Amino acid sequence: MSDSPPTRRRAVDPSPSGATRIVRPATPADEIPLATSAYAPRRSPGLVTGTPAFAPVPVEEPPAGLGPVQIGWSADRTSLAATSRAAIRPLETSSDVLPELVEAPEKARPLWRHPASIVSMITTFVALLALGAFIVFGLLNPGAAASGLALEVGDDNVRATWSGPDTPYQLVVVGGPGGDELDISQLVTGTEAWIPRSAGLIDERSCLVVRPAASEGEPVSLDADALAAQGATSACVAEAEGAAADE
Amino acid sequence: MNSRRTGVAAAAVAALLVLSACSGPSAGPTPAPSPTWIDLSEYDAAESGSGLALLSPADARDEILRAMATAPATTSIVFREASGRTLDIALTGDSDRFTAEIMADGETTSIVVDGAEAAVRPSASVAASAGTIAGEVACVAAGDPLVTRWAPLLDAAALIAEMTEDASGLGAPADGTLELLLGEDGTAGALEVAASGAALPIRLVRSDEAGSLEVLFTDWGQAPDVALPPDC
Repeated sequence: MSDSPPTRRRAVDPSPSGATRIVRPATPADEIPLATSAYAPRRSPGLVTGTPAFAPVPVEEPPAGLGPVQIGWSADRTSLAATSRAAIRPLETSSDVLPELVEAPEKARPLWRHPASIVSMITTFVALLALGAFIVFGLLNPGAAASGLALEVGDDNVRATWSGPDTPYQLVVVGGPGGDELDISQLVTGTEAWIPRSAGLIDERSCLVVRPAASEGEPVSLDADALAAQGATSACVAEAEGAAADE
Repeated sequence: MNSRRTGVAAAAVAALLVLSACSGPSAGPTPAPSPTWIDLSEYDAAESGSGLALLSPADARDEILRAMATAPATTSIVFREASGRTLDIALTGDSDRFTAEIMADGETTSIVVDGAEAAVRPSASVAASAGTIAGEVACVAAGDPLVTRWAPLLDAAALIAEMTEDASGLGAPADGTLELLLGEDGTAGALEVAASGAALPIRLVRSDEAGSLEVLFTDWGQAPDVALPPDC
């Protein structure tokens, strides 16, 4: 703004050095207002001798040294403010409307700050949390175990029932007619099994071992400690028959 | 640098082996075998009875013999020779302790076996061939020819074992019984067995050019009163 072109205000600035002087014309011929001309008003020729046509008006004269009066900054750029005392506001804006974007400096990012890396770190963290939860649940719930195997010896079959969670079980006949150990897990439905008596699977001298299928690979044993370690339970047909006979 | 890379590669391979269970201690004991002689998935506790019908004829025969081995019974054996002679045996007990009445040609031989001891009261024809006195009780050992000459007719299990060696098929269960077919397609006879409960025989019918045999089994499991004569 400071470099805005000089205006006429400067010309009328009431400074002591450049004070505007109002000069009243001394003669009627001088009552013709001064135009913004660099030339002095022409005197009419001697034909005009009548009464004065205009009331005398003050004539603004440029202060000494400033030359002829100029409206606007150049011939085709006038300024409305020339006629008012308000602050001159140019019709055009001198500055740019849009702010200039400063280009961000390109910095090499470390690998771990890349979005993909951050996402993968988050998912890894979540996976570790899940692992911890699984471990905790696993510790809180030790492996499924069967317990309380009971045998009901009927005419056609031996019904074995036990209690335990709903998981697969392995049912093994120990000392039956089919061999020392015979896996008849196929007969298991839930926590019971019906074992046909005349199919070479089981006889009066047999015992049954039930254990979760998870411990399938371990040796079958009727030993109490081994049974407990495998979450297994056992019963013998002879005991069941004896108990039934006692009743 | 090179040795370090080799070490890393070796560690990776080891980790892979462990993770894929291709190394480490192998499974110790062999798991318990499953029965191969029967399709357990076909067993239905409500319909299949004692499971005998699911077995092969040979396995069913073994099962029958196993069930018979420990059970005493009352057995009636009738053997008709092709010539028309008839041998009637009434047998009560099991193979160790039994009483038997053997009737042939209108004569009767009585045998009582209690463990290792036996008392035989032979008929006239038996006494003549054995050199004993007819009608008098002879106290002998259980292995004496006077007793063993009737084998296997005096041991129901041995009789069934001998008569069902050519078992070829199993009939469909009907009325609580199951037929074990003897000979090719049952042409030689049949052994009727209880389909429910213990696989005990009910009736054996068998015939060939030598004669026909009919055996009836009753009172399974009832131990007989076996008493040797007081003077034995």
